Amino acid sequence: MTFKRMAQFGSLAIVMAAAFLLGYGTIAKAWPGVPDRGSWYGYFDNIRDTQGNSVISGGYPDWVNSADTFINFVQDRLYNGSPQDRTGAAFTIDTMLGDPYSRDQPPSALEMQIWRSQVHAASVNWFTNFTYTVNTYWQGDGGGGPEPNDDAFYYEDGTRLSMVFTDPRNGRLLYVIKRDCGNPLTNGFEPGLSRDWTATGYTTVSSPTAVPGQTVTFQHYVKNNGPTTASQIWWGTYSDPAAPPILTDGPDTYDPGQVINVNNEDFTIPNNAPAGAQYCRLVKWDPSNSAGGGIAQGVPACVTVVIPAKLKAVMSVNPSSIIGGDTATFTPGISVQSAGNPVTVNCTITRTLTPPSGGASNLGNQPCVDSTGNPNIIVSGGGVTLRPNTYTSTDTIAVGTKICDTITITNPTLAAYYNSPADKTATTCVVVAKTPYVRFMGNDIFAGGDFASHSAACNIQANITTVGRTLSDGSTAGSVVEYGAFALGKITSFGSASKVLIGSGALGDAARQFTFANSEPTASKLGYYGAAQHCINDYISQFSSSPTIGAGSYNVSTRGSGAWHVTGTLNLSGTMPAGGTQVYYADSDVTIGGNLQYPTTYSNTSSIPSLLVITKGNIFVPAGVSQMDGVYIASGNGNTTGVFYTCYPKNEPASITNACNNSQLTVNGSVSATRIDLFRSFGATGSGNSRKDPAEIFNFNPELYLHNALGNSTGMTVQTTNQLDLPPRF
Amino acid sequence: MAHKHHKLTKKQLLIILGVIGLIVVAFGAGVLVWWLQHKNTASTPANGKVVGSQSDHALLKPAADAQQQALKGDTQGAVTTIQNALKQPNVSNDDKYTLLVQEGVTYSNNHQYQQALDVLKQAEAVSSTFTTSHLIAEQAEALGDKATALTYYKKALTQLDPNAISYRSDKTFYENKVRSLGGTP
Repeated sequence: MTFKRMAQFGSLAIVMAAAFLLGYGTIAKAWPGVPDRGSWYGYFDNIRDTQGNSVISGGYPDWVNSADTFINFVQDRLYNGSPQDRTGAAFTIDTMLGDPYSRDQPPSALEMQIWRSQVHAASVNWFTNFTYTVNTYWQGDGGGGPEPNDDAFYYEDGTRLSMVFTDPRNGRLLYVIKRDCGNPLTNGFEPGLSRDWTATGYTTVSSPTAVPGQTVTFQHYVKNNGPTTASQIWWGTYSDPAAPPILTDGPDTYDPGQVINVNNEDFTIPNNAPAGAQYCRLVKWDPSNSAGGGIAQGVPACVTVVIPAKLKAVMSVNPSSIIGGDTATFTPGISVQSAGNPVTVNCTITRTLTPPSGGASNLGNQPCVDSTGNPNIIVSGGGVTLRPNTYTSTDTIAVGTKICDTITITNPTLAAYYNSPADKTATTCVVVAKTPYVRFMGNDIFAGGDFASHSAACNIQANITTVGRTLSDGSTAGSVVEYGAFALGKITSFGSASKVLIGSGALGDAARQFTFANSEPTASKLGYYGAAQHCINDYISQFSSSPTIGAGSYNVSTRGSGAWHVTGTLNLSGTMPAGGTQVYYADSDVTIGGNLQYPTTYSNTSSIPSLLVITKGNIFVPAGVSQMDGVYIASGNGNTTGVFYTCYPKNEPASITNACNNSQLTVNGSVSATRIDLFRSFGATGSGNSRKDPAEIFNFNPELYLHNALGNSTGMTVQTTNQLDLPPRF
Repeated sequence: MAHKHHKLTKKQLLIILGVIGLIVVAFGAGVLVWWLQHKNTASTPANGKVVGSQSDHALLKPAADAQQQALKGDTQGAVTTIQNALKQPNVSNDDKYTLLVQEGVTYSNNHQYQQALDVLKQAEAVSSTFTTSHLIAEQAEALGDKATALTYYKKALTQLDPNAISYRSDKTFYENKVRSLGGTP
């Protein structure tokens, strides 16, 4: 065996021996001799020996029947006796002096002086039978160990003639000596003539106030204020001094100054407890001092019921929808549903992101904080608004994505704080949307006035309201007209001169230079063009006498030139034949059944076709139509009809699942209508310039000047008469 | 300095568990040895009603209370305490024995030897022990009944536990008692 291995076994043996002694000592210490010596262990040297003899050989003779004879006898044994008796006398004197034990052998002169005074002070019954449970012995003979010259305690029952020392103030047992052998005895008390101590007690409660359903803890303590050890103190806990005890137990032994937490009681406030109700506990102990004081009691500790404010988690977001690159601000809060005491609240914020395809992912959690950054939020009054949290989307985030912030109150949890468990949480979401744009090219746009056939005044105020915004890269996207914008009503976020207008802009903004009147300094008054009237010709009188054809679907490509009065609804589609001129005047709604197109190239000006569609109803453009060439006039009845729908049927609310979200509409020509309903949602998403793509484009193209069914343009010749190069405009 | 992290091998793990097991066994052995050493010396009251700071090896509470009352001079109160305890339902024989002995001692300490004798005889009927024998002998001696005293002192000598520490001193003491009464141990 190597030295290392031997060292390892040696260490293990030491540890096991320590464990053995620990196990032995753990259980052996619980006994009523002197506290620091186990049964069978010598008082002076702490050596174990289980056999022996009398503490004082021959015991105490009958003439020992007074304090003086007792003192003289013991002193004689101490100084003149055998080793057994000298040790027994020192053992007796030292244990009579009591805790703390000096273990001086022999005792000092001062100790002897104190001992003599204590013996004189005690009340002694010199001859009385005493029932004991613990005896003592001298270890110096009889085997059982190394025969130390020492005395030890051990368990033994009996009733024997004894000298019983008691406290003259209260008769309490202090010390007992068996007469026939001089063995000190006890029946559960720690021996010692000095018994001066006072005890106090008190009760604490974990919270001075509590709400119904809350659990508080009452802790009861008893303390020995000394200066000597106190034994056999009983205790009890009470809800009221006059009430029966809740619990009693003991007795316990206290070292000088020792405080024992005798009991802890968890108490739950009843759910129906009214505001202001008090629940109290106190501790009593007996005896209260070594002089025979009776039961004493501590000051009650009370918890007072408070009815808390009823809380509700709230969460708001602004704006409620964003586009890619935008920032939304979530504002959490705790509102108070019904007034009550202020409450300290803790809560958390959880953010989730749900893409259009579903499947939410957690973006993180964080504690709520108040406006100062404190997570322990004091809620009173009507509630508190917490520190907002922002969310900034990426440019390319998918439209339809939902970002949600959930506030969850984690403290308090008791039902008493809420009208409903659901009030602990609140969730609000911002949706990633898009703001589709429209673009008018090649001419002006005019809103307001009326068809003269409806109102000769032609002065109805109409607004132009679209969207213009600054993107995260600093560029702009929005709805514009290439040239002038006129409206008898207000113009909002609609730019002229191909410039995006954010809001109403300001005087001098390039985006409103062609917005009339562009001299208006007040942003809120942008638009309101100063024309007294704006009359639109519906050309119905010009074509009402045209040959009639029945309602139905017509493909323009298979029809020659002509003008027709359609007596009902009309469905049109197809590519105009080269040079053809077709005028359709319909009494009812017109549906564009498919793309209506002019040929892509012309061999000469006479090859340019012209299509004119006039209706007294609406014009419906389904999602599948991407191009419409020609002139379209929908006068309607001047009230509910006469609408040019760019997306029909119009399924509201707008959705990325709507077919109109995937199809851009281009109108090459002009549109006059009582109202233009721009419901396509194509474009305005993704990255790069595609984020600026309009959903609808209206191009007033040159064909309208060269061949127009509404004008006499037959035989026009196109030739270059002047050429001027201009710098590009951005 | 970065620490090296060693992953325990299965063998090392078994060794560690083994050492822990040995320590637990050693601890338990300590408790067992203490119990074996004390199991025959304990006298815990059957009903657990105890006084004293430790619940083991303390005198039955009514008996202790009575002893305390008697030491304060309230003999009648002590007797009443014991008799009330004896009237309780389901008093075990062990407790009955303890209470009767204490009642007898209470009378004896108050020099009421006949009452003491009567009660101690009742205790003896429950359980005849060294204590009942020497106490009966002492009452009889006090009453002048030497024959009874001799009988019971001799009986007490036969009831001494030869393994008890006090055996030699008690044996000497009571043999002297027998002799002092003219008997032969």
